Amino acid sequence: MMEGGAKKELLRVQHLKKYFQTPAGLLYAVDDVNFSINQGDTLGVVGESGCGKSTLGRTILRLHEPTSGEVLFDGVDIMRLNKAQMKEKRKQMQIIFQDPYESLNPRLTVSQAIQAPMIIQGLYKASDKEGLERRTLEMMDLVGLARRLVNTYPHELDGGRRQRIGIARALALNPRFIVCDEPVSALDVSIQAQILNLMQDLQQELGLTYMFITHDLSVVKHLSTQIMVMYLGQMVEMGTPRQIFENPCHPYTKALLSAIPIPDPAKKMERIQLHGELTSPINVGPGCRFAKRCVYARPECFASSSQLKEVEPGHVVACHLVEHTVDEAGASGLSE
Amino acid sequence: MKRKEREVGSMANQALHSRGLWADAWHRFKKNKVAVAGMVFVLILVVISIATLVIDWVTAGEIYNNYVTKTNLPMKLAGPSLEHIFGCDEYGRDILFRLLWGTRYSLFIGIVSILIALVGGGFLGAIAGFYGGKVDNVIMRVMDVFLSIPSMVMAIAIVTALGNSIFNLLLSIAVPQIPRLARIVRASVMSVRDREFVEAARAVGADDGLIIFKYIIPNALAPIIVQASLTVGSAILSIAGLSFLGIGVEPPAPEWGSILNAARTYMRDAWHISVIPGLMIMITVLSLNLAGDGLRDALDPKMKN
Amino acid sequence: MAFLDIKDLQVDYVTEDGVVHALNGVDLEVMEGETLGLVGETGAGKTTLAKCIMGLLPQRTGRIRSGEIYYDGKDLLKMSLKEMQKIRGAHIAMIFQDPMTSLNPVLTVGDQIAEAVQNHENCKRDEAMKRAEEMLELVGIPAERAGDYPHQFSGGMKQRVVIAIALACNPKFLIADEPTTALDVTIQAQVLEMMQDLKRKFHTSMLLITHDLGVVAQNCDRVAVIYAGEVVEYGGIFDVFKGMRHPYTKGLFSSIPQIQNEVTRLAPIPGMMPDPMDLPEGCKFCTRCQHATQRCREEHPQLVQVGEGHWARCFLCEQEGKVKE
Repeated sequence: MMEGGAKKELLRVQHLKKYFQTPAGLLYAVDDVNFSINQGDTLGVVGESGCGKSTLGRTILRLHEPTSGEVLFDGVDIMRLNKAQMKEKRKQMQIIFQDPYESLNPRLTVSQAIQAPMIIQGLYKASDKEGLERRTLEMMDLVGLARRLVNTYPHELDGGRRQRIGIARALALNPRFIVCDEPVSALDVSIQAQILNLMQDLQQELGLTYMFITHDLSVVKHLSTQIMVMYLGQMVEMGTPRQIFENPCHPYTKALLSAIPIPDPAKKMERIQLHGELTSPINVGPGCRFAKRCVYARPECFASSSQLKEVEPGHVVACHLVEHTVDEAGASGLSE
Repeated sequence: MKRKEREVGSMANQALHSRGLWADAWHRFKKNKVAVAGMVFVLILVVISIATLVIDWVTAGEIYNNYVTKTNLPMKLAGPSLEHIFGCDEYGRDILFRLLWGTRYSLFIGIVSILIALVGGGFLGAIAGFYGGKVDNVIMRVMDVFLSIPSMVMAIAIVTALGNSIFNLLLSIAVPQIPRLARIVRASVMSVRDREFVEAARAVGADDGLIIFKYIIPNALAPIIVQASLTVGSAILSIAGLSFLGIGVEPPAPEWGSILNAARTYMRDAWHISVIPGLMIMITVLSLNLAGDGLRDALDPKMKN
Repeated sequence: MAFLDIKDLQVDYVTEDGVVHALNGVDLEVMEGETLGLVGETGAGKTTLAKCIMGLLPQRTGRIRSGEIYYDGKDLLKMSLKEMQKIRGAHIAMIFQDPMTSLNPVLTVGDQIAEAVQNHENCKRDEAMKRAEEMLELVGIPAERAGDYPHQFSGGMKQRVVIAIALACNPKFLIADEPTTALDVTIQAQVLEMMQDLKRKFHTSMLLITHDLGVVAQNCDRVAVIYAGEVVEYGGIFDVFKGMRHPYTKGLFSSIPQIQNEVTRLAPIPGMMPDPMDLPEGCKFCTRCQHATQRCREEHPQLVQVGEGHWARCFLCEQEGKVKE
């Protein structure tokens, strides 16, 4: 990583909340999440199913309207934009979906799928066949799709190629920021590696900023410059991959890391026990949301929710058991 | 180096031949012999209706007047013979001619009434399914009220209230089908609405209109087509039923149901007058159902295995 | 002696578009009490193999071209449906991938386990119910929940119920087809640990089908790597993971990002699995292999012994050991 001076901040999320009304009560899918991403970085968001990571990604793009909070993109709060302004902003913020079988319109050919965003956004007129075609082939070359596939339909292609179409569609508008919602989870390992490499290459070539949502901790470690761990709608820990993997502070992060099956028979796992299973964040009361499953839980964990504390520069944890180990004044003097 | 890993088109400029989902479905449909037979029969009926209309237009109704509606009492209730292969009816009219000229009523009213129902039901169902919530609730509860009235009763009520005309007949058959089709369309739209490719379209800035017409409708169409084609069969039965009750197409027009109605009195003396039109109705509806079933299998290949 | 012995199993699916060659001569042995891992990508034939052992190959499309599956000295493929039904559940049981769809939503979990017991054991209803409660306790669910319906359980709990059903008749051989793929990592770890405990307790042999090399490393004694319907490498877990010989196995390992070792760039296997309707004539992997030669494209390699109980299907290993006949 080139670390020439301070990087420019691209995205800042402040007090973002997204609640859903369900028959069982209010579901706190995203509850007061704060973070920022610098230009050219990759923020990895990890958590188990139902932790709100996908909702977070979609809310940042305003595919869901947030309950409250701000999303500053380049310093502008996109939640205040009107329809036309938001449409304009979408050129810069795109998304790649998890399931390449679900995320492509089965009635559109490869070229139609890639061209749709450009026509919708008015980059090209629908009548400008030549311009559209040139740009389509350019995009196909960029993501490594053979040109002969230009008129095929998604159902004729395998998962890896479909995901390449999904990437080309997202890139067609020349975005600066892409939310990647589990883009490789549905793919086989050998194809997964191809797509991960492609995404890394594209990031370098085009200077993209990623928010990479996944449940796969090894993938997140491989790609990210920052990692955020979510549990039941809240951020419980955030730091660099080294901080998270070598010095996990939150009991949930520890349990998550200890549960990864290591592909090495010589290294047996020592799993940290968790009580019970993840529930959904419906009608949550006060207190730490992880307390019920936490082996270290103390009375105060059930009584009040914990604030984020900085345990080392750039490494924050929300847990009652973690003390301030770095005083704020000292922290700002240190740099990574 | 890096590029090497990406797929390199060996046949760079040779675009692959490929088949869309509709073409794929047609390919599967063609393999289903029974369904194809049903469709062929329906197509023959369509050709017959058009041909008889053209003949009437060219001959200025001469054949219609001389062979279809003109009474010929000497041949009254004559059985099948070489001259009249399906025999003659109570006024001595050739049944074959009457059946051929009657095709247009069944087919035209059946198809057009379902098209009307499809436009009405499709519009209501699509709105209910796409927007959901209160809109959905209001529309669907009204549809439920309509559904609670038996369709034949509603048809009779409409015709008696509005008077006996072709247009009212169309309406009386279309209206009871609207809630049924609205339900299908709504369910189908809802199943597509939340799929990721719709969200993907939203993410690039597409508006509701584009999403509905380019993303949702083409993908929601398959079950709607199937249902509509199956409903045409029941519409044809309704027309026959109404005519049988004497409030459908009025005599002397050779509507199949009204032929049956007239034949009722002579069932013992001349079986052919009731059996042949009856068979005709049966085969037509059967063909439509077979073709509809075939369409369903072709459009949704997962159903078969 | 092998507990389950699969010999030269070849299976096709006849579809409208053509003949899919799902398995192309699989030879595998499962020893008593061991866990054999079966690793491969989508379409490699993992599930087809499981279905063949259970006699659940779809009748309309599936065709067994050749092969034998010996269990307890008898060929499962030659058994009648009646005989097979006696084997299923009581001797060989299967755990499916998706716990959400493998339970009947209108029966309580207790009923479903009891039913599995009654299918094979001649016992009264309340005895079977008692057994069901015992099984639930065994998989870590309180017996009081026997009267609950599947939708009242979370994903991990459902998979525990599925396991309880599979183990209800104390089978000697368990096939687990991606048993934890649908679960979160922390739940996956719990369920796998529990399966290991139960396996030891009942001395069950197991075939664990998965695409996750981590799961194999942590749970299996031996492993078979399957590619395009063929076993390309198999042997003891340490032999394969520490001294892999087949280029495909090596490719799989370099494709996954690993927590321990830092790599900036993965080295994936180029291209993709060949179309199972149109497989290459020689080595099935030749289209993606860096070392492929003319010979690989023309001649089909046999399994070669490269170590004690360690076999690989590659010409590169030829000079090292003897060819398996």
